[in-house]
Parts: sequence; structure tokens; C-alpha cells
Amino acid sequence: MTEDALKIDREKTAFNARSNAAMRAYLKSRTWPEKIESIERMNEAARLAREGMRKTRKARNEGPKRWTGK
Amino acid sequence: MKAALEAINRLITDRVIENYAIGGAIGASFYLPAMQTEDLDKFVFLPASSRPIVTLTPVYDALKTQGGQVEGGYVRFGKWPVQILIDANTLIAEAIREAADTDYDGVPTRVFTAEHLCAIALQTGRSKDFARVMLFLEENEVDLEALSALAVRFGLSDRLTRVLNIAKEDAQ
Repeated sequence: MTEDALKIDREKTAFNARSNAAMRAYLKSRTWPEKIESIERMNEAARLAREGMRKTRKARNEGPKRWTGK
Repeated sequence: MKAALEAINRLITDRVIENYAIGGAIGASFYLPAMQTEDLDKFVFLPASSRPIVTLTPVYDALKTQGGQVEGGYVRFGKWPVQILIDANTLIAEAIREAADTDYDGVPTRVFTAEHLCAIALQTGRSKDFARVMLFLEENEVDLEALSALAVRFGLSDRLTRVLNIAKEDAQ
């Protein structure tokens, strides 16, 4: 590990923290019907995302390495 | 989400940003079947920049002209809130540089590699982040050798060992 590998930009970190706080507030403001609708939207988006990644991997003839738990 | 990706891709064409990659829960969804409900709709977009960024006003303005609605710290496209985060440390900067080119419903995009998503989750260090790393392991979606190398370089080896120990206990 080098010192450079741990370099943190405080200004950018503060910006990200503000953005995360705004997103948390937005998520908390959602009603339950909106949250359920959002889960359904997210599931469909995840399906399309995985499909895209499968195609990409197939085109590159690559796959993830298997973790055996050992 | 497709409209959001098209708008973000346009930012590169118009040279508003140098590059971007999707991270967070949406990034993980390119590899994993299940999502955490707490991260609903969270879509992370990271403009790469070599200079210090103090404002993303040009990015927000460009997204507004493409139909995005700026609301607080995010931009909404239809029902999708797009969260814009920036490369606050060297691990995230590397994750953007080395992101994988892929496709979302016919729209080209870039997503963090599984190894970088796991390393960033280890760095963030909340219990739900560790759970996500375990999910990557359980689903065989991460190259453990490459993740271990990242963990060594970014001082995350102890955290990775903790997650691996829990995963091993669960597997028994």
C-alpha cells in the first residue's frame, strides 16, 4: 500500500457527503406505494443490466472466477 | 434509466465530462440478482476529472437541457433519481478509469468492475456494504485474487479477511 493509494480529497468527500444526504432525504420522503413501485422498477432495471453484462462477457469470452469458500 | 444513460453519454460527446461509471447499488445490479431496498433508485454517476471540482453546475445545466430535473443533490429523469458523485479518493478514481464497457437495453454504458465495487464497499465499511461483498462471493461474481490485490494496495486486507471469515462460516 502506498501513501498515494490512500489519498483523499476533502472537498470532494464533503461534496459526496452532501449528495448522499440529499439522496437519503429523498428516499425517506417516498410513500410506501412509491417505494413498492420503485422496487418493481429496480428489479426490471437489474434484469436489463445483468442481461447487458452477460452479453458483454459472452462477447469477450470471459466469466467470473469461482470462489470455493476455502 | 435508459433516458438517464443516454443523457449522461451525451455529456461525454459534448465534452462536459471526461468519463463516468456507474457504481453503488445500480452498479452491483449488473452482476447480482438481488438488490437492497435501502438503495432504491440510487444511481451513481461519477465524472472523472483531473482538476479539483468545486461545483457540478455545468453538469447539472447540461442534464437540464436534456430533460433532467435538478432537485437538491440529484437529477431526476422521469422516475429515476440520478445521484452524481465525484472521485473523492484514489480508489474511486481508479474504479472510474478501469470500469467495464457494457450495455443497458441497447445503450452503451460503463460500470465499475465487480472487484472495484467490492473494494469500495469494503472501504465504505457499513454492515450493508460487507453484506454486498458477501453476496458477490456467494454468487461467484468476483475474482478473489484481483480483489485481494486491490485490498492490499488500498489498505483493506483486514476488512476483506473479516468478510471472508464470515462467508466461510456461513458456507459450513
